[in-house]
Amino acid sequence: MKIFVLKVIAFVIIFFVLATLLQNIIDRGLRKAPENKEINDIISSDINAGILIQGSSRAKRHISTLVLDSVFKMNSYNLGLPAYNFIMQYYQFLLYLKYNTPPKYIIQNIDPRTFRKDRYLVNYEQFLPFLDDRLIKKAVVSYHGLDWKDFYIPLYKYHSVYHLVYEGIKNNISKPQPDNNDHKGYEPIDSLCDPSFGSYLLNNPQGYRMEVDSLTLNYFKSFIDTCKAKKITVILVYTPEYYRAQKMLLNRDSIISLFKNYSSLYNLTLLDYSQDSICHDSVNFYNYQHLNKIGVKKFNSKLARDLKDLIK
Amino acid sequence: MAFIPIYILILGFTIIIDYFAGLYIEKSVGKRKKTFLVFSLIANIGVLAIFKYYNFISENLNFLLHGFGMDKPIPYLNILLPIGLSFHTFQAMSYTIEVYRGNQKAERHFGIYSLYVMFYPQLVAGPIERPQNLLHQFREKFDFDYNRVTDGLRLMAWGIFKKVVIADRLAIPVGFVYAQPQSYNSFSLIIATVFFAFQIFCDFSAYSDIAIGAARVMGFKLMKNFDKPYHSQSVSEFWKRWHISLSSWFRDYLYISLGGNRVTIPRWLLNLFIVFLVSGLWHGANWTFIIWGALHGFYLVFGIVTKKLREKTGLDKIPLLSSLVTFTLVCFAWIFFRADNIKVAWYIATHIITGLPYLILQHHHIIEYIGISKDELILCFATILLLECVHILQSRVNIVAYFKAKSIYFRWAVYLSLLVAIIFFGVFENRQFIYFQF
Repeated sequence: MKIFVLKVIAFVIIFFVLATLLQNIIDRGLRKAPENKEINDIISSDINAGILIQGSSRAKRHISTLVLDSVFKMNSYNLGLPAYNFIMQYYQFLLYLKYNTPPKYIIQNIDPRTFRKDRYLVNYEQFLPFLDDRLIKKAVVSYHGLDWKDFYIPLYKYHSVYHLVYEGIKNNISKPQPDNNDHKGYEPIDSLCDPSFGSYLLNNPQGYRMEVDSLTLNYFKSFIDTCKAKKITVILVYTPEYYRAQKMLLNRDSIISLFKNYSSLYNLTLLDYSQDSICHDSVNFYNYQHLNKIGVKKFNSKLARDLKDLIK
Repeated sequence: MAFIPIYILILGFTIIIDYFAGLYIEKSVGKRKKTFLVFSLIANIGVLAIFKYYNFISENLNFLLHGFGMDKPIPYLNILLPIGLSFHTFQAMSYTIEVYRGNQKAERHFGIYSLYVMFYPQLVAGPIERPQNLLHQFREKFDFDYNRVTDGLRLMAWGIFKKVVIADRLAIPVGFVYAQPQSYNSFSLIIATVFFAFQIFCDFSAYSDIAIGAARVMGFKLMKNFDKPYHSQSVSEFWKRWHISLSSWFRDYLYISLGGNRVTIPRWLLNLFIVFLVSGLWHGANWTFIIWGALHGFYLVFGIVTKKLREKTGLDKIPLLSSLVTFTLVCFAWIFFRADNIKVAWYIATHIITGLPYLILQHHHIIEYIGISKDELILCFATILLLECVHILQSRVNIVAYFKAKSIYFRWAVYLSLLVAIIFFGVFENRQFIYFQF
């Protein structure tokens, strides 16, 4: 019996050691992958930007680091997180502060989805190589998608994602191909209006409501307080949105009022481009809430012009 | 199928009935003895009839009576099927029958008898044990035996591998295709059906392995339930290797009671057909299961009728061909077992081959998306190949003995690989064992 128990303990220890070792190899390889560049840049303390862009996919696709760098002669970095509400954006901000010097300015992209109640992990694979970071773990557990097994059983987080295991091991052997289109997190889309554009409007003839989540609002307040304490200037930017889609959001006015209230309460500049002429021409969009390269070019020249008085 | 705590009372009811029935059967003689057996069987079958078959029967009768202008005269009962009911009811019935036949002494210890019916490793999905094999083991004292415990754990690990890596992975494309077969070509229907054959084997045999292994760890020896069934060279051989505890139950208690083969040939064939029809009904209260059972009954009868003809042609003497034909027949029957209803089963059964020549001539679009990526599809085939390699190896060498003879480094390397494979390739969504529903 004693031998059996000792053997079981030895087996468990050997498994944990070997599996953790293999997991670390995969983690290390995946951190080198171009698709994980943003998080890797943050935790490698490689960013230290003067201007930090935050928000959802609308930040990532709309706000050009190339334009900001050249106009303001300041290092900018785009940390737009596609499909996430403000909670994940806030954790990313804390992660940034943990490993980098605070930026002077934050351009915070806002839209109706910023405060929505949404707790499902999207593209969770991007977080897997970084789960040993306590802040990333805290961010991930505030959403549904991963559970205790992913954190405490070595290798479990990679089950059923064979391509990641392969890529992680491969990246340890050979250097991954660098992303030639890397613009420090900025990723414009060069495409015209997609076919779902019209069908989206057709499928939502009654319109829809976007619920504002009070917990997410609390995170936003904490964000503003932290920025004030660190003397970071926050500029709220509502980037262009196709005008017909705006009509679909039934409680849009109350959401816009909320942004305006926060802007005046915390003395933040709010640049609202949702009524700009860009919003009225579908040629500027690739879908109802994202600009394409044509729209982005027009928008960024306007944004740079408006920011000139605010960024010095 | 559900686990509802109050339903334990059903188990309690059958235990009490059968416990006392056993005692009275043993004490009685002649007609009185038979009366106690019949009483016990009625109680057991009655519970099954109410919980498993009542709504099925009432639904079909209502359908028939609707033709006579009656609108649902038989009420529908809002009840769920208790988990594992068919298994522990059959195990309980085998006890009273064996006591009646004089092959087993009635158990006087109520706790031991209850344990016989409720023995947790095999309570919900078998193997359906016989009192002669299990009851006496509850009186034995088991000391810790290193070899026995590791044997049990090894079997459990293999069972878990088969369940989470093979069965649950194959379940994804099978579920995808069977949910909407009209959207798929013949090739996809074939793949899904073959995958289901391996899914159900791995799912059910995995449960048996885990149950046998868990019992083994504690010192108990349960009967073998599967023996490489897809290597069978005839359907009758298949039933000697598939769900052995159930097929032997039907053989011992139904087939023999009907007269077995000691009757006229037509009656013998009818007996066989009845046994498989009942076996289908045992699996579920649905026409799909009845047709599945009837198909197997037909295969067996047809096999007997054409035996001489096949012997003349010599086709029976090619083992690979016999295995392939048997596997094809079994797979065809699985269509009815897996399909949600007759309509779906009929569609698949009638389209599984018909579109194939057209697809072959076309050369392209043969492989469709069936709910899994190309990598996962390759993985599905690889796991089936691995399973078959293990089975082939099993038929040539005693794997356990071979394994035990190897060094600890080799054995532990295999265990670690198995564990890593379960973690990497396992499917961990909540998927129950298929046979829990029976």
